Amino acid sequence: MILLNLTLRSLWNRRASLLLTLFSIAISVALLLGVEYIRKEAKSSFLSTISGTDLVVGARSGPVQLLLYSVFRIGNATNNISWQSYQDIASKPLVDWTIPISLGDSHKGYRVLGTNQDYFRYYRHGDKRLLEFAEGKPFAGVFDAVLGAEVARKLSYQLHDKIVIAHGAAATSFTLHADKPFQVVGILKPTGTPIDRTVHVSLEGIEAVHIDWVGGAKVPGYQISADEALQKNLQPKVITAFMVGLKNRAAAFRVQREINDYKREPLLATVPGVALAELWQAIGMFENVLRIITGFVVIAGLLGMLTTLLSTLNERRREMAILRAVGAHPRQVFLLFVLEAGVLAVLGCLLGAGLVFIGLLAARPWVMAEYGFYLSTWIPDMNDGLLLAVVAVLALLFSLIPGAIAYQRSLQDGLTVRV
Amino acid sequence: MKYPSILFSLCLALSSSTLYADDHEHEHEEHGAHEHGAATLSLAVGTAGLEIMLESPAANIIGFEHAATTDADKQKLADAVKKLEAGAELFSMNTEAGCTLKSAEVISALLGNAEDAAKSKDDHDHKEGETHNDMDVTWSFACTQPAELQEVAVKLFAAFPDGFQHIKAEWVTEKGASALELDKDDTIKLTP
Repeated sequence: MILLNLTLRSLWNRRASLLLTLFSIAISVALLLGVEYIRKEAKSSFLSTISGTDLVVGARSGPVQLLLYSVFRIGNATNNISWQSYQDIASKPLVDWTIPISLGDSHKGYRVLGTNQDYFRYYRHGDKRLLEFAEGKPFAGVFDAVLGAEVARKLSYQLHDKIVIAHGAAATSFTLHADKPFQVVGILKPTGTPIDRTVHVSLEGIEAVHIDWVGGAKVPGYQISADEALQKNLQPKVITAFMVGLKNRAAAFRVQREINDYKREPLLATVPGVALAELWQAIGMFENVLRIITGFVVIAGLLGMLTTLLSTLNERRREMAILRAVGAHPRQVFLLFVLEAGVLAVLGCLLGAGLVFIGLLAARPWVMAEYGFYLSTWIPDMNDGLLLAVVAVLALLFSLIPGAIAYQRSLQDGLTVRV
Repeated sequence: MKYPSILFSLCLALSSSTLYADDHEHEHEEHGAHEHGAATLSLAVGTAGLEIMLESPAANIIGFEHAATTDADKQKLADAVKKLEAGAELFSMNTEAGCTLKSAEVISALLGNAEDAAKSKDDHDHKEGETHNDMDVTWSFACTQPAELQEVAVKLFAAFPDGFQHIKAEWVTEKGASALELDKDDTIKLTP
């Protein structure tokens, strides 16, 4: 106890240089914990984008690619699939519900998703949560649109505003479907998923804006007005992909096989969780690289501490000599250094953890406003505790070096040591 | 002299292929992936129990893929089927779930019981002797407490040491789905 007291007082005496050491440890620890936090949050936010959907079906490509374009709006579909195939599979006895989706258009850089009312009835995210409306209701008419939370906020749209969608997915498209504007009838609550960045319209709406288009361009002199379009058959012939909910989840692989063997056209069905796990395995390598880097940052921080301890060894020769003179055992001198490192490491860890906690609290409103993503409060778990323990043990190991030197010197040096 | 005849036969081939396309308007050719050493293992946990499906090239399990004609090959095939049907030794679950093997079914063109056997006869480019054959196995386990099912230990690598290099294991439970790449016997944790 006396020893600890002595250590603390000795540290306080050299507070200026040690404070810097403390901060370098704290920052490296904060980085370590922060990276772990981001890793976990990113994964859970990714996994929470889709839940309760048993299969995603699209044109044959790769499961990860299919999931990326259909659920995360990353990349583009390789092919579309026919309405007929969709109907065939939707009517299978094991299928409970389906959600068709049609992609390809955009509004000011935000993807436009054509779907039907089942999207609002069955699509679940997070902990099996349905989509909720902040204002308005699902689309009912052909030219109705429902906006994701971020779209509405960033472009400051209100209910009943008219929006014009553009052909293609580029942010600055010059080919607008200006003759057939959509009316905003609903705005969704934020979900923290790509849904927030999506404009939802009906499949018929997508079909209607393209009705007087041939081969990806407007045909000059051939125009069908919005009212005329409503009279036409707006049943889509192709869609991009669809989601499937099964009556019995355990049948997922059997239905998946059936769809993959579908004879009319080459389809691909994937279980979202499986494709996400595959994707995560691919990303896992980068995670490890990130971890290794932060590991080295922590070691650098601790080496800084070691440097400080070693460089003060000479200055503290008299201190040690006096301690010896008043009856301290060389072992206690050695312990003094270990304790010193231990105190620094523990304080550094606490400070680092505090930095993460406060940093996240401070960043939360900004991240929410900018990315529509809620940062959960940082609560250290077993894994974090283990990391901190590793840091502390490393610090103690490092302190053995100055400790051993001091131990040896304290045996040799007398009170007459010249400093 | 030679070229026109080649051109002619090319035209013939093209026209016959369009004819073929007309006949099978709604069909396309399928060439499933077939990689020796690799296999897919799907586990589905339902309200009644666990269903495990293995899709593998036959070579992983019996070492060859041609029809078994010699006595030695036939013996190998029979041994492998016996080993597969004793599924309780290939997989083990945590005991709380109370799972017992209900049935095991081995389907392969080598055994003459595959639906594909009929289909591959239609395949116009199918030639005797250069076949690749799969072996699909389905095990059904009945569990008294399927909700308690948390771990499934896979022992396929030990059972067929010369065959499997890596197995892609994927599973669905009531709570979620995930996948794992196995390259040795391992325990799959079904809880997310």
